[in-house]
Amino acid sequence: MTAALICEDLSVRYPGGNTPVRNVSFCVSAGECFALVGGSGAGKSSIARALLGLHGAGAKITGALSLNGQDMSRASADAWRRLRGRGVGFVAQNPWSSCDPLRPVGDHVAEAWRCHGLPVTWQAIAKALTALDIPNVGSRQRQYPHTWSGGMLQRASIAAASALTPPIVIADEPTSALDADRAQKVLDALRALGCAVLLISHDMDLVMRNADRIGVLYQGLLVETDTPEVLLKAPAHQETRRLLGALEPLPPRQAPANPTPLIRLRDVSVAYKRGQVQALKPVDLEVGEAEIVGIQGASGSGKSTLLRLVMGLEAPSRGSLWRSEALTPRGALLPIFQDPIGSLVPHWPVWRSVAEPLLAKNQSRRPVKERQERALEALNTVGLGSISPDARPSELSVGQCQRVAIARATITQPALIVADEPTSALDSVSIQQVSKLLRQAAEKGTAVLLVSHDKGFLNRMADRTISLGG
Amino acid sequence: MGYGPQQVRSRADIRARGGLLTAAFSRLFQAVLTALAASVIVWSLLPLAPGDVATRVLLARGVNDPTAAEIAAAHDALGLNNPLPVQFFQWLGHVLQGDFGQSFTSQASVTQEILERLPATLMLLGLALVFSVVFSVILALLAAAYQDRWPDQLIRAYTQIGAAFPTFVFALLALTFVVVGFQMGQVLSDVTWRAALIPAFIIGLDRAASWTQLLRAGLLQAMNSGYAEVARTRGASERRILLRYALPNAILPFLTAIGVSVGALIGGAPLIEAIFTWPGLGAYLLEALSARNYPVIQAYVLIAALSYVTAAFLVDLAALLLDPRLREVGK
Amino acid sequence: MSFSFDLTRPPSISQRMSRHLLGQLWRHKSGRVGLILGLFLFVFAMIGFVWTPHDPNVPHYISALKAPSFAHPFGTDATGRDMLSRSLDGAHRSLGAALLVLSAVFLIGLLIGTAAGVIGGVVDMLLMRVVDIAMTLPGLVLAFAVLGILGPGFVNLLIALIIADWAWYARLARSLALGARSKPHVTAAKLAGISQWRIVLGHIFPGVALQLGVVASLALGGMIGAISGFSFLGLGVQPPHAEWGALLADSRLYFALAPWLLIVPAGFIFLSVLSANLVGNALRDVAGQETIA
Repeated sequence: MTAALICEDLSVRYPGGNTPVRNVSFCVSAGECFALVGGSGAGKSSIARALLGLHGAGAKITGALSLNGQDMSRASADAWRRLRGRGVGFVAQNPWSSCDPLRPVGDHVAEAWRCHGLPVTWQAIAKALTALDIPNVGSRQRQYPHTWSGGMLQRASIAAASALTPPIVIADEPTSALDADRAQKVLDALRALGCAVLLISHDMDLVMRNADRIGVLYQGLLVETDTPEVLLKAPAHQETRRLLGALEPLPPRQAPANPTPLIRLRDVSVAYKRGQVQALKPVDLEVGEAEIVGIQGASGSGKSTLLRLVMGLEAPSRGSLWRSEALTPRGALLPIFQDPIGSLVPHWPVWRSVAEPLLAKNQSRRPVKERQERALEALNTVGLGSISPDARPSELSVGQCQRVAIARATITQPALIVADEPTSALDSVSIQQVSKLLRQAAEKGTAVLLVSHDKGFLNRMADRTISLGG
Repeated sequence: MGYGPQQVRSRADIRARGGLLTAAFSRLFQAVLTALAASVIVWSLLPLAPGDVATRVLLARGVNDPTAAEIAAAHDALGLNNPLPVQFFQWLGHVLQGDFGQSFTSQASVTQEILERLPATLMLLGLALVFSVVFSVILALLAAAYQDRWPDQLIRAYTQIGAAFPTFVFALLALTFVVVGFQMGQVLSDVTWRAALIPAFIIGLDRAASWTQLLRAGLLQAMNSGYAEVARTRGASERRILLRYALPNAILPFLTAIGVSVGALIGGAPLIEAIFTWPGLGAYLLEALSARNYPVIQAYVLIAALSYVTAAFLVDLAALLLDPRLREVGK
Repeated sequence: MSFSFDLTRPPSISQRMSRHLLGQLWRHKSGRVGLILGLFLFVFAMIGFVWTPHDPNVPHYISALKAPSFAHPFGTDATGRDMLSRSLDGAHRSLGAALLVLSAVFLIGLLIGTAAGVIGGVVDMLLMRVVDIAMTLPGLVLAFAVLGILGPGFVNLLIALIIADWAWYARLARSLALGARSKPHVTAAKLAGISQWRIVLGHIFPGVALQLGVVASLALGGMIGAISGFSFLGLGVQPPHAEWGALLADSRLYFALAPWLLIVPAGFIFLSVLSANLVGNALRDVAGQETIA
């Protein structure tokens, strides 16, 4: 077997002295799926850019790089350009932002040929798209990217990346904009191409299931390379163990037996425009004290409407909604949102966001000093004792922001926390941390209502799960 | 911009086309509403103005010392005793027939006087607009193609300096030191395309500075976007990325800015025409302002508003044609 | 346990933000140039407000059209008035007027726009219809129309420019407030039982004010140009008072003979607009990093 990609002693150095990639060596055999994993800042994307010759004029590349037996270490910009698309394909993270919004999807695929001045027929495009399981290609390829679903558009991007049958395709987080089912479909499509795949991802679950071999990157160094089985059995490096921690099952949990009910919805539905638009089909839901209840549903199933009902921001059109006394005081129900950065006040230091529930109308007035101490305590319990409580949300990572949001939601120990897709913006390590924190909150007696599209996540987390029919 | 044989139109295509028409009509409706609102403001200038309108009109007709009876008669004749909404619709009816009334100073028909001066203004501003669009598109493309190299640095210096000169100051300097200094043309000019060339060039050069900044920023943003990056990984050349990807995407906000700038151009006409002693509408407005000649002020403001609304409407239409996302029904 | 802030008395948000922003502006390369230039012009205007080397308004025909010299560093105009004194005297009118008009439209826009966005309902609808009507005319054209009613004059010009511009700021402030209101952090505060006032003042207002302030600072250069332009046409500052645009109008006929009469006021206008643009652009860069997230 020949190697599709050999990378020896590769380093990438930027003018400021920043060296995101240091002496990385690995090879990818023909037809193999090799995965590079690591946290943010590990150098994954810098490697991808270097392998495409797109590291930018300022960056200095050292080491040997060979693609399909062709030495690219000293290749000119023009040689790189001719190679891209033909010798190496690329699939980007977000399918929508990788398509020109002003042109139809078919055009996006046709560019694979046109960029190299090759003739292209619509049959060829249709063939490429059909091969990736896209139905009704004839009319679909004339539609615009924003009207396509993410999974299908990502498969169209794969069709474009592999149009000129490159021996290797680099896929940089190709599924992070998709939910689990769609992600697997996209990866199956990638594997079905038959060429070598360099998969870059932070999602250990996905990587373990799909890669032949895995390389773990840590601070620009390739610290460990092996097959998924070996890594799982005997991880050598602490970073590997940290990443694998995301796959560990959560500690077992005893669901409370016969909990006192907090909120009860009977046959509740919501309709707009005099019943013409059914926002939420009739649903029964009961959440008791210290319970973790999951609500699963695809987009458009009425998840957010149901949440607004529970939060009291909307009234049901039909059915009955009952709240217990414990939920009546303001602040007895606190939310956690999908967008962690937007859920914190951008111009406030984080401690102020965390301590805000202490300022509620029905809380007794506390001096600033006491509020700050409480905020710091809360930050400590979510494992953020080391960050400056004075930092702004923009200085934190998305995962840290979500933990700050949890600190805020738990600081007054409310009766119920309502979490709307709390993990969909996070990487797998942060998902694990958030999951543990929500479990902790439930142990302390706060009920948690979890809304997600991700069945697997809810199965791990919730005592019971209600599915909203599509 | 299709490829291969045309296919049978699907339902989705037909819906998309319907979306385009619906969107275009809704924009047209908005434009008409805006024009109507503008006409309310324009009309209200007269009742808001100090002094008695009937007396002004009589004076304009040469009745130097009108008696109380004459004034009362004029009030009746001009419909000034009617309720204000009635007055507005009477005025609007006349305007729609192209009648702006009588000039307070010359007693001539305002419409007539406007029509004599309008071509000069349109000529100068139109030519200036063409110059500035052409300059800014060329310069921005050059700057984006040679980002951070000397052509870009040169163009950026020009845009910084140009944007720091108000148009009239730049025009005064250019006129004094270049046109007069090198005797490059008559300053006191007749209204010909030839004569309009130098003033329009000067205005265009100044306006193009800020537009170049805008378009350059848009081009660079588009060239760093996800789709440009992906096109690079398919093997697209930088030239292809600039012209095929960045330009269409960056031109949209640029067009919107031009639509707004048309308003500024019209508003700046009096100043520009004063500097180039150009006998257009702007000069006419200045005369009218010092004489408090309200029918003329009204006519000018309404024409300016209509040109502005038209420009905004055309920009909207262009955006609809360019961007499929705007055609979605209900957005 | 170490704190990076003073536990006893945390600085107020506005204090710490302005400190933050000024520092970041100073670290911004062109922002610093703009700040220095602006400071210089500010000092120049303040001096002109209290003292000038010669009387700026009294003609002195013997020394008419003198080229720059030691006695008259910027020369003299056609009636022998000292150009340095007139530039000094005109500075506070040109710059002060621009700042005054912008502060006024900023405040009016901020209050009306935020109120409309936060209160919503009928109040919002009524306010926005007024804004719509005010926005049907291009700003400068509306200013001409208002001047047509009020007549020329410096105060009238300022009123006209405020009437011409406020609606843009109100519209923008409203959309910013609406955007801020729909943020998750506002919903979280509502559910936590925070009072409406606290939410408006703590969550919504500062962000809207900052972003609107960036827009206003970007408009400062244009406003300086507009005020001198109207004065050039004789619609603003009235003779014998000095203003940079009016200085240009006074001496139009002598530019070929005495180019300093053109260069001095044009130079001051250029430097002020340049300084405003540099600071405005830097502020946009800096504030963009601060708040857009």
